[in-house]
Amino acid sequence: MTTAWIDVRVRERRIAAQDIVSLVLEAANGHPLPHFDAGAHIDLELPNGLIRQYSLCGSPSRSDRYELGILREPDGRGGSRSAHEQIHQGDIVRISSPRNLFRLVPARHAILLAGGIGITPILAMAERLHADGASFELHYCARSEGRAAFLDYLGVSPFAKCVHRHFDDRPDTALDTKGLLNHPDPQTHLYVCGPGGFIDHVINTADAAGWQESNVHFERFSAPRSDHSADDAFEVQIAGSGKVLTVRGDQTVIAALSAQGIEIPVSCEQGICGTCLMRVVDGIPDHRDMYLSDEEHAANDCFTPCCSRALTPRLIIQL
Amino acid sequence: MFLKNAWYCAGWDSDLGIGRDDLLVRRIAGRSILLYRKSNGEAVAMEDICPHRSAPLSLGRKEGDSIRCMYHGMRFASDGRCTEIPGMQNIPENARVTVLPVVEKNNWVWVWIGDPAKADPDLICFAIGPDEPGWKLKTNHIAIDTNYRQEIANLADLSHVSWVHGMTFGGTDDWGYIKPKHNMTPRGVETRYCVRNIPAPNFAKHLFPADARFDIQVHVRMSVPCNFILSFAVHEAGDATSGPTNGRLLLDTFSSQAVTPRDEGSVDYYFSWGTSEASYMPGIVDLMHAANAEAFHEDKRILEGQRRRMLEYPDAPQIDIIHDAGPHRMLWILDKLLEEEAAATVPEGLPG
Repeated sequence: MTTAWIDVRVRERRIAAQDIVSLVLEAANGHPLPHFDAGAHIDLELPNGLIRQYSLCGSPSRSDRYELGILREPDGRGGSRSAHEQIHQGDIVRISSPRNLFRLVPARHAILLAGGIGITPILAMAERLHADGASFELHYCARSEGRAAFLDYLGVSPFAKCVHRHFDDRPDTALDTKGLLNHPDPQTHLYVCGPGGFIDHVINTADAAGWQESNVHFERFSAPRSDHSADDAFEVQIAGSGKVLTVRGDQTVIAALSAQGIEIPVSCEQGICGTCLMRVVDGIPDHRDMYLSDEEHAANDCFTPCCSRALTPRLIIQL
Repeated sequence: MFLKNAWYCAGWDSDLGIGRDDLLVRRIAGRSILLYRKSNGEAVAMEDICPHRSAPLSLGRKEGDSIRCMYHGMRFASDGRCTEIPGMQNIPENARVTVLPVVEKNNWVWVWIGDPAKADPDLICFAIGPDEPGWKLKTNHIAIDTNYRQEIANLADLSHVSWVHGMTFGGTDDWGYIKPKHNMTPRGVETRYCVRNIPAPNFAKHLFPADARFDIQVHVRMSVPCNFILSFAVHEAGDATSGPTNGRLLLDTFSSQAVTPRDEGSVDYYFSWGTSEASYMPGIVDLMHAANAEAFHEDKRILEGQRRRMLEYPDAPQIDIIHDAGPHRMLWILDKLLEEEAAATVPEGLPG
């Protein structure tokens, strides 16, 4: 089973900031769109044929529309340029169902940190936390006011008083990351999204301040999120047969097995349904599913080959 | 889409009489099949359509082992050959009805709609029939307006017992927290698990003290198209937290269920339930029979409602949850066999 595409119509297209266009999408057939949780992204098929991932920045409680914010990246491979130049109001484009690798976890307080276009998932998180009546603060860092999308909305939003703005060209507004993260608390979770350097700076500061790794959540924009091009290759050995195959960085275990003629039942391809669940005899999986519980993850004796990978150079699996 | 090379249940053997008017028509996987018994009791299955002008042969009459079409009087032997055309001396070669392999096993009548050369009786699913020594089982039938894939999904995930069958088999949320391992078999899935420390199901609650707790040991064998063979053993709640229960066996029950798609939008569902003779007590099988009938009407209500919505919203997204591994594994096998069949099928030529 491959991704089921959803045809959507571009209901609104507007310039949200310098080099940032915002798109509001609605289902072409008028039906509700799949529900999503804050932090989710979709694949967007661009007019030039490229597929790119974009976070959903609208309110997760609305199923009649999705909202995206897309930054033009002149040095990119043409994805953002196509999005900026070739998508017009009224156009029909295709998107995937939402996927989420950047989830909110229940906590007493949340610190949301957005760098530039990283505001998109953070905005959805703020909507969700506000709707839940949860305590949070949002810090939005951008090079200048003109480059910060959704500022108008943030100013009039019902959670406006939780929003703090930080602009590089106005040093008086600079974010004191160290001061902000100085008091790690097991009941406080930190969410960071933005350019790689921004994320690294925040993570390193949190680390130095003694934050637990499990309380720090981030999503990088530089690498595509739903394919595995940023992942390392590893080997899979099939128990009993001695057969060893390589899972390339851009390939799932399922795909690598399939290439060898080994068909495994698989459905959601996101680690939700557990259809592909497989025994692990040796090696440690890099669990990326939601099917197994924390305890089952820790046991490391099975994994979901549709999305999970390996922390060790080789996994020995039982078909 | 239906699998051709598969045995389809056409009902209980008792549905098929030997009387003058016992011409049974079953809609099976988009085809109308006539079933009757020859004078020696042997079952015959043939396409219920006269090769002349498509009249249903089931509107005809039995003549010995043959069937006479009561439109223009053509007579067909039980092997499908036309043996008489009143007023015509030479019978055309193509005056022939398609006959299907038919086998009776475990009191079920099974029909093969694919290549007769591949009709291996060993592919008929394991079952326990009502005549099986050592068992006390009662049989039943229900028709449901749904696609058989939704029946597969219903049966391969028993978490719905907690929600759909709250008034009958349910009475506890525990079925919704089971995460079984579904093992693949060549033509289906096999699943074993134990639901631990639960109260009596609602239909039998009055038989036990309110604080009585039970372990239910479940063993499901599913096979294509949609056969569901269930061993359901009720034990006293034990103290084992994994693996099989270690509680004392109270009631050993067994249910054989075969779902046959009539067409894309409806199924016939033949099922039995009862106890082993060793754990039988007077009245229990009748109680189970009544509860089962009521429970399957609970399924009918939700499945037919689901079918209506699916037709209204053909593009509605279907999200997955943790309980979908069983349904997906079973449907994966079905789809794999369908694909293999499609790949092996040469474009259809003349029938027969």
